[in-house]
Amino acid sequence: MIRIPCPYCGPRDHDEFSYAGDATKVRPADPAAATPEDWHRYVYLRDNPRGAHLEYWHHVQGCRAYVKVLRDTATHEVLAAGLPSDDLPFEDLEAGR
Amino acid sequence: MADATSLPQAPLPPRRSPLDAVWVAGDYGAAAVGGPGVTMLRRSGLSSVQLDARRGTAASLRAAVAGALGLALPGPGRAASGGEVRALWLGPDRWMLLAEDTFALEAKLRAAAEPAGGVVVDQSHGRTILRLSGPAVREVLAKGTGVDLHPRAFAEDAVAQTGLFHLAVTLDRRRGTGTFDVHGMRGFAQSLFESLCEAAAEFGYRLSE
Amino acid sequence: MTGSDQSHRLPTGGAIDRRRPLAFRFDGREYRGYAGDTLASALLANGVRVVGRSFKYHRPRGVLTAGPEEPNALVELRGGARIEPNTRATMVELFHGLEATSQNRWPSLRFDALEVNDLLSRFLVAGFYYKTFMGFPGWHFWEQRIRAAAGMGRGTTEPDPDGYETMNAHCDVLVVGGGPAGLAAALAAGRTGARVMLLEETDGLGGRLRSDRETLNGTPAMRWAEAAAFELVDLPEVTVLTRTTGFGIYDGNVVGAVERVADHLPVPPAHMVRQRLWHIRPRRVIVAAGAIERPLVFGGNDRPGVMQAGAVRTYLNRYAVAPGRQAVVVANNDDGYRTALDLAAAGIHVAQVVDTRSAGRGEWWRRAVDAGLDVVDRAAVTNAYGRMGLVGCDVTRLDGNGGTAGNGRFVPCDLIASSGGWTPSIHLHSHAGGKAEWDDAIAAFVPGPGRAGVTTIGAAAGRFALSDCLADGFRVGAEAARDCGFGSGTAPDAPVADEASVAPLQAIWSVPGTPGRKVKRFVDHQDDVTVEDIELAHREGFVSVEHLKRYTTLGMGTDQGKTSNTAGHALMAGLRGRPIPAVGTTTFRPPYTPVAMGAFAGRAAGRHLAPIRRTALHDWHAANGVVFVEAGPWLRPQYYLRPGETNSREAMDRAITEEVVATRTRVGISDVSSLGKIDVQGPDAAEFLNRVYCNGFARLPVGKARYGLMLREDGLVDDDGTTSRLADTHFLMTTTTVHAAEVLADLEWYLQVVWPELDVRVSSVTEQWAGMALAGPRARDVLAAALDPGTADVSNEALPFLGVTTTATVRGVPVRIFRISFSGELGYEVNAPADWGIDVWEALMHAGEPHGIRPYGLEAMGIMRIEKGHVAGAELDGRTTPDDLGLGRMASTAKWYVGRGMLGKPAYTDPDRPKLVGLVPVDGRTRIRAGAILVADPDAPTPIPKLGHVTSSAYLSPTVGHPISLALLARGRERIGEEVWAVFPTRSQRIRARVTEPCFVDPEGEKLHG
Repeated sequence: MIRIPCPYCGPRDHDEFSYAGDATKVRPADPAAATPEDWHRYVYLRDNPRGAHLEYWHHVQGCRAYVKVLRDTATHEVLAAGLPSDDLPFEDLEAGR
Repeated sequence: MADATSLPQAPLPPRRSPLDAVWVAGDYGAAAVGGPGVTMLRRSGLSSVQLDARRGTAASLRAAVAGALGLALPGPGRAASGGEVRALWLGPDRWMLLAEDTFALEAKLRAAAEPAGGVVVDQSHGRTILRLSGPAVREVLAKGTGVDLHPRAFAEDAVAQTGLFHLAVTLDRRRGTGTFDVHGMRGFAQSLFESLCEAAAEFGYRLSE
Repeated sequence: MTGSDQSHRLPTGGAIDRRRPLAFRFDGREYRGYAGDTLASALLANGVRVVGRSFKYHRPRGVLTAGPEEPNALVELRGGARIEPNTRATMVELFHGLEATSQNRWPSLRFDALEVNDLLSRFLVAGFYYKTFMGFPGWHFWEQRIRAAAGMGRGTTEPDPDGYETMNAHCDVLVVGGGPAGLAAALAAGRTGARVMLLEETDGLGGRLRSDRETLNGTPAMRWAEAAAFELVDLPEVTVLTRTTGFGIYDGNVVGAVERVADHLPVPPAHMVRQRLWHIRPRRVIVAAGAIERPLVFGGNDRPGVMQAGAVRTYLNRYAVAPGRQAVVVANNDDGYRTALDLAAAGIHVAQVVDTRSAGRGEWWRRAVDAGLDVVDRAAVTNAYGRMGLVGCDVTRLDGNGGTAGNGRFVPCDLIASSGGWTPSIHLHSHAGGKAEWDDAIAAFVPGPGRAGVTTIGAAAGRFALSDCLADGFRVGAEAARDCGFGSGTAPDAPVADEASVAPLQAIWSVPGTPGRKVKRFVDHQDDVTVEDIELAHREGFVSVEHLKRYTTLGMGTDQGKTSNTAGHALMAGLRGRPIPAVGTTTFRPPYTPVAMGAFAGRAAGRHLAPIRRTALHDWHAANGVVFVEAGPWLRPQYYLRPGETNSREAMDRAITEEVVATRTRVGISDVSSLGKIDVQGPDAAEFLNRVYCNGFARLPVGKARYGLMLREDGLVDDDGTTSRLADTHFLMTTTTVHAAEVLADLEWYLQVVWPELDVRVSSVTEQWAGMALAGPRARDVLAAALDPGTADVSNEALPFLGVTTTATVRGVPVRIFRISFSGELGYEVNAPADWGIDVWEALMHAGEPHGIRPYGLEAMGIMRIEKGHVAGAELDGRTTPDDLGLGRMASTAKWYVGRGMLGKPAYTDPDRPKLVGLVPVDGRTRIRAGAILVADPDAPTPIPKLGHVTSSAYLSPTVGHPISLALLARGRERIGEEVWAVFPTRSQRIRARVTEPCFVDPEGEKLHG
């Protein structure tokens, strides 16, 4: 059982959440300016890293907030969590790897 | 919407509960010395009105609600009572306000909160509220939820949005020993009720009218 | 036959209750034991030596251990629906009327036909069945025979009559294991006021103190344990769970435990579950799981009567059972002397104490010699004799180089207590990703670096002395509490243990056989793995312990090698000439001991397999002949029977047809409450909807509804529904039943993550409103008659197609009316607050009576939407674009919306893409199944090119008079009028079908607008 620290509700079991995907992916801000390749990258391309991974979890059975989670995919350890607008120390971990 | 601000004139039929077909008052489960471990009560016929703060309006909304209802909208994980109204924090910029009336609370909120940035959504019929009290309530709820209900972690007026027996609920820790209000979705009311009864059977439980 | 006389029960002592005799049966024979016995101790008290047959060779086996590691004494417990195979007799608390049966023998425990396997054993070495039978024609035949011969117990096909449940818990400090270390840790943490849980696998606290005669400050150590237990019970924030195994540590240090609530009772009392599965979320975990003794590996070490030395002391001291009358003790550590002294103290003749060490003469040796015991060192038991029970053994001098010196001396005995040292139970440490480190001093793996928050102490950490266990417990318990904010972290003073100093263990992984004797030396008793099997594996080139395990099955039984892994790996290391840590150990995974599937299922079985969702109109349907159908979690009306009618295929067909005809010709009403309803409010609501729907919503007028189509980011259709503008900044969106939750989550995603600048709030109001679809030529008449006079004008002029009104009331109840239609008829959707849903429904039914109104269910609704060519779940299958469904013109070119960025993908514009069409059987009557494959020529050589598939079928459209289907067909729109074959290979069906327009009824929509 992964325990996810919701910024509003505190630590909760992961079964209150649903996984909402890779948080390193940013939707093209101006859809009209985005090329087909931009969309292709956003919609289809995903890394499958071992170690730190930035992802969204939706606290669907709780406060319904989308939570940004920095999780180690090898150990399932949750290293940090915050709001979608928060910067989590993902880049630092990447650099240190 | 027009249907709530202009209160209906005709007498309304009594409100039905999704548990009408299964709720038979009485004592069930193991016979417990000193009374049932859990007593369950339906809190039917309430107004449950959801109040959201639009972008950047939380402060003005708080002030408007405090002025109109004498109630401070609570922060995350908390409930507050003011006068006849109880407010539960549901999520960021979202509360559920409850009162024992029909339409009046919604009308009051539309008048007071909408101009201050509030979004009012009537949920009175969508939620089924059970009040559980007694010495075994914490244990019974713990069979179905991963939220820590110990008084150190979940004191009076604590509120949690969580899963209970896999169903989305709001838990509201009331004042008084071991008293919780469980708000569940109307459609799952019978499943929730059956799960609570089975979990409570070993302690003995009472369905009161 | 009446019970025997507990011939091996000691006259005094033990923690059994001699005033409470209990009768039980084993293999049909009645015996007696006492309250406080286990099944194993009660069998031993009655002199029962053979309790099972081994897995492969069917050798007679006796009780080896007194704990959860037992590999031999596996029985079928209870019977009928409650039968539990492979139950460890050492862990079964005796109860009155207990019934147990030995397993893996035929016809009886005493005479087992397959004991022939033991004689054939030189052919039955590791891997024999793969080598012999695999690749051979008929391997599967042999596989079944082999598996039956290597049998475990039998299960049952009956449903489990007992209840199980889950319990969630939280605490500051969780202590796993109620021995001296765990008790000390729980005390130290509990006294600070921290929330503490203590899990103990057996029925009482004390651990080894219940089995040994150790003292603290001159008084029996068990007195201290009892006092500790009393103190813990009085601490308000401490929870002690006995009969509870902490079986695994999972992510986030969540600990799984199973509480055997009623396993010690004949049947669970009313309202009591049999077992309870605990999910415990501690802030700190202290593992005090103890250690498991290793049997020495010598010839005949599996004979009934060979037992772990520690188990012998348990049976003597805790159960007052003499496991034999004449004992030989053999050990590579001081536990041999300790056991010999306990045997002697219990009045049992110790024929010989054998120490395999060359340097074992310490304080314990001195005590044994002083007690007059016959002690020999640098010697070993080299072979044991006695097929159905031990009769004696050879004791032979060791030459110090792995061989024997001189001839063996036969010593008659019926009990051999053997100790090869103790293996710390590092399982939980390992579950949490902790490393194992080799400790030469105890010749075992001990916990190395591990996960934060998990600390292993006492014997589980390789610290076996009582004083170390207590010191560990007090120190780590106090520190864990301090880490959680309780107490200073200072350890309480530990009582002083009166311990003799211990001479070091000298490892001996296998004992040579008696000179001139062929011996069978078992490493893994449960899986019948011998030293020779490991040697064979080595000769065949296996180098990794993981491969060794899979080849020989070492450690793969239900005991997971608790008594055997260390010796097996050490032998492998010896054969390879490498140090043991270089060969490694296998990784432990949960569960520590087997857990019943029922405990994992908990209450999520039967009617609670999944929660059931009922609409606000459920009780009306139930009282009016409905047949319900599951639609996701919902129970929805499928069709309605006549009063008193029994359900049948004919009744169903007739009901569905009548429902369609009534709706098409008069008026029908159906429950659409399960459709998702989402309230969307805010100044940017219109802009938001304009972005999430592919068609325009920005200029939808107030009081109007519009059909909307939602795409996914990849351009494929996600969901559809009508959305109404109730006020300038207030919309009500509807979704399909199945996608309701997903669509809400998606809307929240866009508002919270993608476009946080939009000022919009969304909330589900699905449960708030009961939904009723009133449809048919007379729908308006019925609606007008049901409305409270003067509350709304529903004339075609005032409320045209796609009009919305929110002013109406019915019986005083405010309702929302939407003039929309799924059936293609003149239709209205009426939403009423759910608690009054039945009142409004009944008012509509009442108003509809003069018009012959019929309630209709999902089947009739499905037929009518197929007749209209409306898409639903089978067409919105996550693979279709708007154009595939004939809805391409809805996708706006004047704005950006979710999914538009991908719509230009070449694959989506491929002219060969399947498109929505209608399909009718050429013969006008054969039913075409949904799922049928469309091909041009069913007789073409395979693989036959697939042109598409049938998505939805109405076996009979009452409106057009024959079966109709919807299909996705390659170049479908160009094929209208052509014929294709619909084939259903698994049912050998091939039906010639004509391609049509997807709309079969009223293509111009005149009825809708009428």
